[in-house]
Amino acid sequence: MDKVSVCFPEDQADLTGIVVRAVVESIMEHPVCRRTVTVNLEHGLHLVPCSMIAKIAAQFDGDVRIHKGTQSVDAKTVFDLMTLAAEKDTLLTLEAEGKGSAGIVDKLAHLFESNFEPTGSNAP
Amino acid sequence: MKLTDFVVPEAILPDLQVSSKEDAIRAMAEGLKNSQTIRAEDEAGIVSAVLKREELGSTGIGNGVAVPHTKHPSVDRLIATVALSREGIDFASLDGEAVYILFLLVSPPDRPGDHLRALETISRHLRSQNFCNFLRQARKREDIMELLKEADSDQLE
Repeated sequence: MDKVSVCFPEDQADLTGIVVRAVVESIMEHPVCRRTVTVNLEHGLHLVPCSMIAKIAAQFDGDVRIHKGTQSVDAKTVFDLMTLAAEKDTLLTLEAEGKGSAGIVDKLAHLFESNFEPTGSNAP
Repeated sequence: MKLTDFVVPEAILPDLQVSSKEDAIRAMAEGLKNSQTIRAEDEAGIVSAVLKREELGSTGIGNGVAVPHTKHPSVDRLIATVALSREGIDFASLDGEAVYILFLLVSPPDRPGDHLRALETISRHLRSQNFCNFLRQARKREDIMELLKEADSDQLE
């Protein structure tokens, strides 16, 4: 872990400590996990893969988003996912925030890596 | 891409009265045939391809909307039609609800980008509850086309 030195006025040390602790606890309770994936589907991210993404994302309590450039959509909504119009070779960033975010990003990344094959491992 | 770029006005069905997903798809394909947008000899093949696509997963994407679609070699450009059902049709939708607004999309197999962009265009507009509400109130083909034009020029936001 990197070390960070922060200086606070002595008279505000207690309050600052409380704030810092709160921020750290918040990060630990709401970890954000991101991963970049590539669309390898010949016809792009059409309705079937979007439905598969939404089905898996819906099982996660926290936020799940997919970014394409500056566009950001809710991964739990097929309508939103369809607006990505992500063609083959498009780079997308998967992002989940909340407890278990790494697990849900793993599941979604596996969908892309397996080209959305309807296997048991892609089951929600 | 605009909705009016690919929706065929003469094929629109403002009052679809069927009770099943299969009959809905057949009626919409028949509408495309009657408007001479597809050939009579290709109608059955297109219906079959759309139904086969439905087996992979329902195109009922929620919010009372379904977007049955297929790629088919008989068409050389992207075409679509719209149908409205007053009673609602069981489409085995993702949210378990009936569908009232249907867009049937048929595209050439060699233009996947156009197909994706059309689905994006349809989804972007159908996300709007306003647009869906207005559509469901439309009674005539002309009214539906007018709504599509207004949606294309972002007048319904």
